[in-house]
Amino acid sequence: VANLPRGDSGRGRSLRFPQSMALVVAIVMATLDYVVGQARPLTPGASEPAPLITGTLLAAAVRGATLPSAVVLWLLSLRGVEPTQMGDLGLVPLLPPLFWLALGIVLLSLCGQIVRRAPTALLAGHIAVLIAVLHATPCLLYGTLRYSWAWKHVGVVDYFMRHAGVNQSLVELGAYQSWPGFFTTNAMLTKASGLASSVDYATWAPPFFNALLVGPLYTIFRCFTTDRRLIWAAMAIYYLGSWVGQDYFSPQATTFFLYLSILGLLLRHLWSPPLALPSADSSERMTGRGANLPGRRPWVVAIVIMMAAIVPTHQLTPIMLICGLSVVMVLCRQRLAIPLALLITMTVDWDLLFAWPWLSQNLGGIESTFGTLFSNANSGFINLGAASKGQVLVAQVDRLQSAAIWALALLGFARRFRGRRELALPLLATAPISIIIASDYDGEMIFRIYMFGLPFAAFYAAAAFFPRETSGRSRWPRLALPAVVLALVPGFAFSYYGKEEANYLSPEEVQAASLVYGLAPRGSLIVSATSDFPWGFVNYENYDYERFALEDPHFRQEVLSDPVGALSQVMSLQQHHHAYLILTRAQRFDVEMTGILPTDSLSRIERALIDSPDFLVLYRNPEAVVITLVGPVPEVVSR
Amino acid sequence: MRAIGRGSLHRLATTVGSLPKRALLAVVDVLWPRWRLVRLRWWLLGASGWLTMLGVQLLPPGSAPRVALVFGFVLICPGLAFSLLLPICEAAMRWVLAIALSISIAIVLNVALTMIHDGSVTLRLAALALITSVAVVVAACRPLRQVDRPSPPLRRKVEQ
Repeated sequence: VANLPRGDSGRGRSLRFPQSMALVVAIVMATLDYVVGQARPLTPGASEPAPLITGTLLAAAVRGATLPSAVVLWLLSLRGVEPTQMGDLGLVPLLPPLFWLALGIVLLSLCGQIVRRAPTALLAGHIAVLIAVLHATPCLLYGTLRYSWAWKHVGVVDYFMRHAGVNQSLVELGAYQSWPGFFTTNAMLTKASGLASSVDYATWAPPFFNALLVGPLYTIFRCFTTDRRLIWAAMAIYYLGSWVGQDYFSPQATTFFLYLSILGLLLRHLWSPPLALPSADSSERMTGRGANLPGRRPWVVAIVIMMAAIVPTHQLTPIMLICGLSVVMVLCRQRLAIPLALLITMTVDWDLLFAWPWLSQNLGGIESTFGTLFSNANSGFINLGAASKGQVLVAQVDRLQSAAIWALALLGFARRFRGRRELALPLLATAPISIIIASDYDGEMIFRIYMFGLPFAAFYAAAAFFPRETSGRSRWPRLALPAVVLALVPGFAFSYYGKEEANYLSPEEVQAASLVYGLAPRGSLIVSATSDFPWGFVNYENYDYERFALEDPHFRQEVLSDPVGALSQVMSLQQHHHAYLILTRAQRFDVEMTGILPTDSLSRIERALIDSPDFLVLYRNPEAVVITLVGPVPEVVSR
Repeated sequence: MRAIGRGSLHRLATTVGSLPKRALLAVVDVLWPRWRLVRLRWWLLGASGWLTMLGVQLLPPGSAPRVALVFGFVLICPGLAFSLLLPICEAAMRWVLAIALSISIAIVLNVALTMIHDGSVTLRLAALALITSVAVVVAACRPLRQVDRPSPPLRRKVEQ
């Protein structure tokens, strides 16, 4: 396991004939597409440049062929990529030049279509291909479920497939018993479909959830502008800025979609007076509007149903929604008292009546982080002093990427905001920041705040290029938009794909974990260094878990200095009749990435245990090893 | 007395026995002219839940058609049926609502049944199918009410 080749595959490989042909065709098409797009704007304008190419048929043919050729190129580029050879920079060095070219072609073509104000269907098609390239790539390459957290979500779904109700006495993954909405729904879907486990479809969750977001994002952006360029440029920036990785098979991904849908509905149908007033720009029509439509009541009912779904599904999203709605109600003077009051009532009722057992157990932790602003803001960042070089680079790039998008948003805000009554957008972008006072959310709060504010920040980032419907006809935005969009690609790639060595769980690792869960009797102890392996995906409630690298530093030091002694104590048969230790490639990377254990320490621990007569290797493959403690069964247990 | 009683009872029995048939005919008489104007696709939407339940019974477990049927119904149909009750002008908004409401209805229903410790998948699917059918029927009946009640200017003319 320790001697895996790291991060050097896929480079320098010569292109095969079909790939070369697809490459040539795609580049030609993209170039022609951009030239045609530049030369033939769809919207009639007074000061457009003279057409360079006049053949409408040629233009249509080029436009029609660019996207399919990029898709072909992308699919061809994935052949021969070996995720097992991943290194410290994750998937980035593994992806061949063809992949980046395909992505570049999609983005260039999208920019060309945005500038020429192409029809909505064509722009939506480009965004769909962009989502596929960005988010379906790992699904196609890996063949296994990505993210160890997704595996445990599969495990909770498995629990609800086997049990009719919740069990709040469970300590492991107890929060999910208090907010079971996502899991019970997936349990029903899995059982009704006749599938053995939700793992069969959970792999495709990232492209699915990202594709779902197109609808609410479009609805929200349409409330503030009719300019297709601004809407779809904001969409492109959103997807290139969305690196946080909360799009996997999770309650958060589901409730984030509902959160944006509620805001879209609210801005479109419950807002009064109208949004996007043409005060500063008479050419821009008013779009977002509830006053013209008869009755607010049906919309309030629809919103309340969505709120009722968010409350029992995720603990953070209702708080974010309460925060956003409160700020908007007070500062924008909106009549949102009834939906807001209902949301607060539902949240408080749920937390007190159903989630209280879990909340009361964790109240100490919540209290200790309450009010510690700087500590909460910094707790999610990895320790750059202890992390590996590659991860330091990844961390720096993702911070830079986030800062760049917010800087662009500030520029767009400055260019667009003057004379407009768009207070809602900046408020919704910044409202989540206030939550940082409340908790660090296990070190993830800063990333969630970024995620919840990103859609609105992306709108203003796009407004830097197209602040008015009449603006953007000069050469500056036509050149700056593709340049900025392409510049965001490396940032996204490092931020999103850079941690893939921890997120990728190979078939061998899955095999080892399946063996443990198939072998371990009820009541066994499953030990690992971290939780970064496919754990808990079946019968999770029947086992106890121990992650020695996440314990206090004193115990970690004990494990490092005397692995056999320390782990013998942990896996002692006095406490559990069976104990299994599983060490995998992803765990090895996880401890190195976060710096919680020194480099190569897991390999040394593994060797020490294998050499010890007290331990027995049950299973071993190049990616994982399963070890158990051999010893006399204690008297208490044997009785 | 006995004859009168027997005759009355016979008439009463005939009247009571024919009530369901009459009621049904009355409902059909009133609703049919409007319902036949409802497009076939909305009828299909109304029946989608029951067809899904049939598919769950007939199709092999884990097969692609069964997975597509279940996911397609649960993630789209209840919300789409509900969205028929809302005054929506845009296709994009309708589809956003259809999916968001479908997911929400499914979550609320599943949480409610989990809280009362009922694990029946059939009951859950039946409840979703019922919600979908009721929403489509209510949407089909809505134009009827609007047609039956004259608009304010028309009403004023009638009063004059």
